[in-house]
Amino acid sequence: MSMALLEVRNTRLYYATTKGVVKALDGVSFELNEGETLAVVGETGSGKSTLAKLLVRVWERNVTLVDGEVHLEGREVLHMPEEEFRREIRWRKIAVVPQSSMNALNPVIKIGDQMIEPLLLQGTSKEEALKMAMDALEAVGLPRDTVNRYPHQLSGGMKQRVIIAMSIMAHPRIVILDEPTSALDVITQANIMNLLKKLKWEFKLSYIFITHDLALASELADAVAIMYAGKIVEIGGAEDIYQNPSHPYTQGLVSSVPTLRTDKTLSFIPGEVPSLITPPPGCRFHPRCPFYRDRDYLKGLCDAKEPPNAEIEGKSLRRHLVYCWLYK
Amino acid sequence: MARRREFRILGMTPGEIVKGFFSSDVGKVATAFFLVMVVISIYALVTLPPNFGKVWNNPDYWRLNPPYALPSWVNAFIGNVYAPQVIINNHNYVFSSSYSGDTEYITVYFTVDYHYKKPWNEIYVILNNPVVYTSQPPIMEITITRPDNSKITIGPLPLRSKVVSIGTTTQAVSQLSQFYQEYYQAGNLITGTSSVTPYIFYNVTNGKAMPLIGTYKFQITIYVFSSNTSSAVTSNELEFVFQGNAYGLMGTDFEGRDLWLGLLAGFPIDLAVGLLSAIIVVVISVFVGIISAFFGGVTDEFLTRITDFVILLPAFPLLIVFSVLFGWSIWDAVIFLALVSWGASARIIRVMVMQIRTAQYIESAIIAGASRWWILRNHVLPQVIPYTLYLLVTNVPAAILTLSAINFLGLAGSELPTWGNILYYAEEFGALTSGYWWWVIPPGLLIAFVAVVFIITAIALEPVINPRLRYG
Repeated sequence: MSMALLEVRNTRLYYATTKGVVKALDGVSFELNEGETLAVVGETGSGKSTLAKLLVRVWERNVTLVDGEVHLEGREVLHMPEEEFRREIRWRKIAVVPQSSMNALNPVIKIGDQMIEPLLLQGTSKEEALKMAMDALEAVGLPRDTVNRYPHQLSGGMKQRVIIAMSIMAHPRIVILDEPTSALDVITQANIMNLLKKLKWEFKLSYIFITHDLALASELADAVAIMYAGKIVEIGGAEDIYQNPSHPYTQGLVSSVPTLRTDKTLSFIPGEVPSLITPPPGCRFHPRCPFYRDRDYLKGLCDAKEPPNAEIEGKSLRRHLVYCWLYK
Repeated sequence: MARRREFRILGMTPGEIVKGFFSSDVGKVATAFFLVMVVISIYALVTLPPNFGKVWNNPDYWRLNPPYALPSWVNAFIGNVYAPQVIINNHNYVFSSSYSGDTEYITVYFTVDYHYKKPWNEIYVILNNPVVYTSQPPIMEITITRPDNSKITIGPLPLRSKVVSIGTTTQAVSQLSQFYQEYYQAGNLITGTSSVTPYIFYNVTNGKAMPLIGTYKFQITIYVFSSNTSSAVTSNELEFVFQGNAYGLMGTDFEGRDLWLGLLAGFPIDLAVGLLSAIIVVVISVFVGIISAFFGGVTDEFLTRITDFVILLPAFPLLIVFSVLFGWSIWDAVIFLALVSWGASARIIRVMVMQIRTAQYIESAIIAGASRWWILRNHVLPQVIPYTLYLLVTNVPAAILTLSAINFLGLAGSELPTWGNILYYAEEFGALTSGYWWWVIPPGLLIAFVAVVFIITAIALEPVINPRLRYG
């Protein structure tokens, strides 16, 4: 197997709250290859954003457990000293476009000064940083003198472009896009998606595209990972997942996506996302799973033991893995 | 690429700030009023003596003025009823002096136009030469030629002190009653319990004293005996004051103090009081607010509890009690007031900083390795500073109103003629029940005026300070 660009092995991230320990990530493993886009899809509270935080090592103070391994270009980065990670990895190797990036700009500081802040703090000179910022702005299709503007002088789409420019400014290998278009209208959304495609090709980027929108993910993704309650339940090449969704949860997600012009009754998954403090034993999806409900032989299996991973025959190069008792 | 360097506050150039401020009519009005206030304050500081507070509280200084006198402009509306204060000095009279042996003969001649219904209460002769009237008093004789060509002579009167009031001397009483008896057969009109000066300006019709309108010529002769020096009394040292019933622009109070000067002196004092208090409040609240929000934890808890305590303190009752107990001056009261009224502002700043602190750009800055100082300087202060300006402007009228109230109660600051203090005396001497409106309305209006000026300044500042009003 060729060396993957990013290899995440059995990572766990727990938070301590007053109600108990929240197992936000519980044993997540995947690989990201050079130039690949991995879409991470899941409901709110499934641990997608926590995954992004784990990868750039920005977690809240109440974290109790960070475990597992993250290898970036063969180098373990999850447990390296913070200072080293900050200077060498964050922004330079792996950058993030934050969620709600509309609020990610300080309203009283010029765009340029905000963009170069992380570079200045890493020790780059101001002139060089400013040049990098202007190059990045040009790459995202904004005029170079945007550096002299203030956030309130920009539209929502322009602000989003600024945030994207910030993430690619230092030429990272991997960009984590945490719901980059969630606050934008569909036209602007389409614009941004096209921009992301162009940047990927231009800068040879790999994306981890975090979204709750399966349809939007299909626009960009080479591979898709479906997350549920802090775990990956299915991962594989994009065609495999979209054409042959194998996990009951994935099937539910796919059939709940509305389509234009065709009359389709939208189905939904009954029940709600389980508490991550006391997740259901065994497969975390079993209380909502239609197969578990209908098939008696699954009783005592799904609700007791962790589901094994099963490989499904697929068209793409990537292995199509599904974590479900149905395929055993 | 030529990058244009611009100086901006809150994303606005100074030009844009000025434009934003003046874009509303409120801004223009606020600026006009503000300028008026500042100009009057400067005028007051320049024209009034620096020890005006002492002068104000020295009854001797004002005793030539009529107490409870109306503003003299009232005559323009009700038709010359009240004779205004008139001062006759070497600019108005003809002065000559001659010698005979060691006696100096001084003659002074002047005329006074009288066309009012209520004549002057009293005529004072002021002689500013202690050497003369302490050794052997000079003797004065006054001859008054009235419009009907009748003559009244008063004197000889010894000038024993600096100020001699003519109307209460026995000579004047007897000579005037004699004159009235001879001329009008009405000597009984003059009783002599109070000053008889008004009778100089009356004639008698149908047994009643009526004002005699016209020009009065005053011929005064003063004999200075055994004056060893030549020209013992010069024209600079001699002055006559006709105490009227109307005085100056704003009238007088119970001690004859010129209310115009009092009101004028109030401008710089009230501005200083308001600004000093507001500055202290803003400095403390910014300091406490930022520290508490920025450091969080125990520091925040501690400072928040202190802020709670300060908010709960009953500032006004405490101010009253302490002013009475310790006999505070107005500046003590200002500082105390500032020290107990920063709570609400500090809370606002704390919340503002907390909101900024949890913003995503702060998180980004922290993970990029920014220190606290970096975040404070680059992210927090630029957003907080403009707001402090707003706080400053809104805190000024609050301080002025509170201190005026305290002064109105006769506490903290009787040593200075503040507007509240003027109102205190007005209340004390029953200005409202006696109808001395000129003593009550102007200071009241001025307090309201200053408060309103600061409030509309704050309103005009709002589009500049609040970015949401600009984003539009």
